[in-house]
Amino acid sequence: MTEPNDPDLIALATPYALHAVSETELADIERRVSAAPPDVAQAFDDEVRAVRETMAAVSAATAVEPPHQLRDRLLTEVSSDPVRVLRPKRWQTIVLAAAAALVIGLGALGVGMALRPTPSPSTAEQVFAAPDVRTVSGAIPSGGTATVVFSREKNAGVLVMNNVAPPQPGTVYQMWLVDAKVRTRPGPWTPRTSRRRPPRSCPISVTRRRWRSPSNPRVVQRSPPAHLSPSCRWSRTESPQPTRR
Amino acid sequence: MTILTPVARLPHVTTELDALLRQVARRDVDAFATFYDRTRARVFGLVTRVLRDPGYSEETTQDIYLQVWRTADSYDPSAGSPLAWLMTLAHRRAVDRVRSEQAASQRESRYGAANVDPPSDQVADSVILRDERRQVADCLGSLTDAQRECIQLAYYDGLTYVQVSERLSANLATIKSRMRDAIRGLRRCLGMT
Repeated sequence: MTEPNDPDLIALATPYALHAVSETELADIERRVSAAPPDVAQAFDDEVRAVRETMAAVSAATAVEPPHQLRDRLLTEVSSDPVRVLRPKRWQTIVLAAAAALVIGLGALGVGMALRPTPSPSTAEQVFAAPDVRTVSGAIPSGGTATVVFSREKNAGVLVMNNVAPPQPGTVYQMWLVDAKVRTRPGPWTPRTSRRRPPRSCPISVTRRRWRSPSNPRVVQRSPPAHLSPSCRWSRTESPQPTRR
Repeated sequence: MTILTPVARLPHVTTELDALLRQVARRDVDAFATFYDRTRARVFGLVTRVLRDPGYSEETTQDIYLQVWRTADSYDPSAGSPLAWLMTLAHRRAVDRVRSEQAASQRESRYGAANVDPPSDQVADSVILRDERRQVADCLGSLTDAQRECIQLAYYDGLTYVQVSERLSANLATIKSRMRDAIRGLRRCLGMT
């Protein structure tokens, strides 16, 4: 293989493809690749691809049968999964069919947009299609589960709640992102100038509040944040609008 | 006479998995089940090798396949094989889990035991996979100790290459080139170049 101009960058392709770089360096490498001349970026991508294909073949060496019950659990789960594939036409129907869906901007410490009739479908589609898409699920104390599908690359996430009772009259759900350094403060969200990356995988605390006004919601029920790891206790919240279809 | 090595049969696997993923993207549960059956031992085995905890491994494997279900339509055949797509996704999640658990210190003590290959009766009852496993094991054996150690620490133990260099008291350039040489050696040995 001929070596294009940036040997330092190309030399990072193998650790990058093996996921053997820190979060900080990962971002730095991706920035450098996207700014690199096409031949350098191509050489980097080729190397990454070769490593991934090789390790896919190597996976035969570590193969172990999983417990049988995992198959049943998975098939049950996917058979009742309302998210599944998000196609442009079906997207809003599916998401609105869930009790609540939020599109959140993670980089700005969490923007909640609750049940807006026309959220931008492109954000959710981008999240679901992102190569680094991740999923975090958790139980909601009042029943049901909340699943956040998010992408650091797209800097956004989608929250879907399954089997969650609709909010009682006069109440709405709120989603909180909790961080140790930011005091929990319900109220209208205001953009921040700092762009901080969220922790790698942050539990989401979903709260149910009695609807009063955007600036004065009263807590009706709140999932305890005790289980959150310290690095994940960051919070920024927007009082959502009541559901209007 | 040409004898197809086990790894050289992978393109056939690719064709099948590719077709299955397209069906999964159309929400075909049966296709998803087949895709799971074809790949589950590889995924669970890799995750277990990285996490070294049966409970976490099962949980993480479940998350991985739910991600497959939800994002199958993002698989782009021009960017690589479906198996590479899947194993990349699986490894990423396993490494994320290891790092977020910050369990490195506990895992350390299990390092020796975890290097032992799992008993063969745990492996999927598939002749092809068994042959392939033997070939891959031979190729891993053909690497130098230093190269194999780098792959072990970086890929299976979830260390960054900087941590690997600290662990082995070697400079960063050395570690990076060992990693690259290890991959090239494997590719050559597996007939993938």
